[in-house]
Parts: sequence; structure tokens; C-alpha cells
Amino acid sequence: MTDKMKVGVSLHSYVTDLKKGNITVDEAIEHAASIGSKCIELVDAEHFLDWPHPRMADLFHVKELIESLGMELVNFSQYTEDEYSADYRCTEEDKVDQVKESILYAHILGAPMTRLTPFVNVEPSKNKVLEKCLPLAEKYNVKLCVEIHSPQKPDRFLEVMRDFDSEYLGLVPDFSTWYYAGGLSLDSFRECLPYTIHVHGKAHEIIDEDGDEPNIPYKDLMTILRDNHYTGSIVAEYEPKAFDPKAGDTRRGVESLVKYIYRFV
Amino acid sequence: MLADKEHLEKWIKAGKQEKREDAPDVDILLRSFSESLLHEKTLQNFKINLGHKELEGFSFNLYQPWYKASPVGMIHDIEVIIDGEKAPREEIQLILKGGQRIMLYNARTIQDIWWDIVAPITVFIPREGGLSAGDHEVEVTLAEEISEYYEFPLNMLMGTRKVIMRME
Repeated sequence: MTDKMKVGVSLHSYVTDLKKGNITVDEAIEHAASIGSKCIELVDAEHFLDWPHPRMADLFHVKELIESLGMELVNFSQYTEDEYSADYRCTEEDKVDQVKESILYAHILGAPMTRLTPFVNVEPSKNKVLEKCLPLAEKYNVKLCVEIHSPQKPDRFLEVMRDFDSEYLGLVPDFSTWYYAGGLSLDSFRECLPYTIHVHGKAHEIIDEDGDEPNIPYKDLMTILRDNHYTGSIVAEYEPKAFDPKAGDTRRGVESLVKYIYRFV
Repeated sequence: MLADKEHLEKWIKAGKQEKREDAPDVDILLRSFSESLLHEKTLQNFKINLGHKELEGFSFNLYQPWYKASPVGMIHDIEVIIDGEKAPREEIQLILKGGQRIMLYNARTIQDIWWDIVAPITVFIPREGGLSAGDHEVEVTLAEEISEYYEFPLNMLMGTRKVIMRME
């Protein structure tokens, strides 16, 4: 067992270049490995181009590629859809089906968790989707995790965690939640720690070698993780602001962010 | 009815009222979604095989402006203006994955074919004899419903682009 957290890359970081045809999913995985990433997060409807019917051959290919480069797939990120078309709004059962499918895809891919996106507007006690999916998560040993992303605040998520009190349910704090501008206390980050199984290290600009990410109290957040002996994963999530030509090169952005995160580990 | 900038403003305002503090400004959003709609600079003439006859027309590729795939059924509307002339909505066809073809007005029913972020949808407009060789002004507007996953929904995105494209 290592006593350090695992640093990796979310493939979401490359999306602007993926859309422009400047990089492929395979090349993004190879790039992440080349800059010292130990783990990878990928996103269902972003990185499997045949979604919602990904080909088994593609699932195995991605799994093999990540492993052959000495990395692990740490999170199969899922989007729980509200609508399947302008004419069809998803029922609770549809959402249960979506989450169950993600558990199975994560299982096939060997990912220990799947990030889900719904539920935040639902009272925890009424959240039947999580309740109905947890037994399958347990059976296949895939944790369900919910992301806290700006402008959300941790309170409700903590309530859900306390309510279910399940080792198959965890939190993914995204650092954007603690933007200086949002004014949330660092204590609210500490409160998330007992449930935190994965972290999104967000940045919007290329970080100079001796510079700092200007929007987020990285040093404080990373110190809290380290002081609390967090040994889970943290992935660089590089999201360049639209039309910032300096930030547009996602390879450079990701590399600078991974290096930056390693500074604190 | 096709969404316009006024509609988009309304949706985003609604998002902001739900305390979406980080909702970017309408112009930046519009520009961002608009820029990514068209990648190529050329139009194509071709014929669709209807079985009993061939349908002549021209086409261009339209790219997903969102950051992830979504069902084709989330397409709210597409408007195409060629050399200042609006293409009749009821004639526009969309060519999807594997050559699957639908009329634009049926798009909102398609749940099971998704529009990913790499492969385009081909927009086909019937026209006898196709388009003449040379430059043409193409104006395309897309309104697409979206599920927003971070609590305060934007509900709809829109992009519009006017460019000169070439028919070889």
C-alpha cells in the first residue's frame, strides 16, 4: 500500500481538441501516460463514440491500452440523462437502468467506481435511484460516486452520504466548488473528506512552472488532503476557458496541471 | 419554431435566477456553440437513393456543439439559409450514423441514435441539379435541448454561423 494519493488525468481535459480532431481518445490516453499520470478517468458519452451502444471491442481496447501503459482506469464517469429526446422525459426506472448499465460497464472496464450526475435536487430519503442501484454496486464491487461541482454546495451531498451510510457510495469533490469567488470555507471541504473517494483537480489556464492556479486555493485543499492521509485518486481536469488562445492547447494545459498537482503530493 | 437569441437569453436568465453564479455571458456561450458547428469549407452535391427514384440535392456537415454526445432527439430545430434563401424546413433531411436518414421534423422522436462529438450529422437539402459550382453563403442555426447535470439547468443551447462554403 502506498501512503500517497494517486495522481492522474481525466480525459475530459482534452475535449476541445478531441472535437477539433487534434487528438483521438487513444492519443489522449498515451499523452496522459507520457506526463506521469498513474490513473485515468473517462466519460461515457464523451469517449465512447458509439454511445449509448459502445462496442465491446472498444471497451476492451481502452482497458488494455490504459493497463499496457502502466495506468489504471480509476473512474468510469456517467451522465444520468433526464431526457432521451425532446418528446421523452426519463422516468425514475429509466434512470435506474442507466445507472445499472454504468455499473456493468465499470465492471467490464475494471473501474472501481462510476461517477453519477443526478439526484442533487432530490431529497435523500426520496432518492430511489441510489437505493435501487446500491445492491448491484455492491455485488459487482463498483462504488457509486456523486460529484460536487460549482455552483453546488456540499451540504445536500453530505446529507445523502450520512443517510445511506454505505461504503459503496462516495463523493467526488471538484475543486471548482471552492473557487475563491464562491467564498466557501475550507472546513466544508474537510467535512467531505470522510466520504471522498476521488477528486477532480480543476484548472482553466496553463500553470507556469513556478506559478499558481489563480481561481482555486490549491495549496490549502491539497494540504488538507495530505494532512488527512488521503490515499485515493485525484485527476487533473483541465477546462480551458472558451476563446482563450493561450489556454487552448489542452496537451500543454494538462501537463502543467499534472506537474502542479504533483508539487503538493 | 426555431429558437432565437432572445429565447436563449431567457433560458440562461432562468438558470441565473436559480443562483447559477458561474453561468457565462450569453454572447460568449453563443460564440462558443456557434464556432464549433461547421468545420469544413466545402459543400457536396449528391443523390439520395429512395428506392423507386433518386433525390438530388446538396449537403454539408454539422458538428455537435456540446461537450458530450446526446440523443438526436434533443435537436430542437435547424434552420438553413443558402445564398439568402431559406431552405424549406419540411424538406431537410438528416443523415446520421451508418447512413441512417430521417426528416428533420422527425428528429425530436429519435432516442436511440446519438450525435457524438466527433462524427458530424450531414444536413441534406433537396434541389434539382444540386448547387452550382463556386462559392455559396451558408447560414445555419441550431437549437438543441440539453440535460444540465449540475443542478441549475440551462435547458437549451444554440449556435448560429454564416460562412462562405465552396462547391467544387
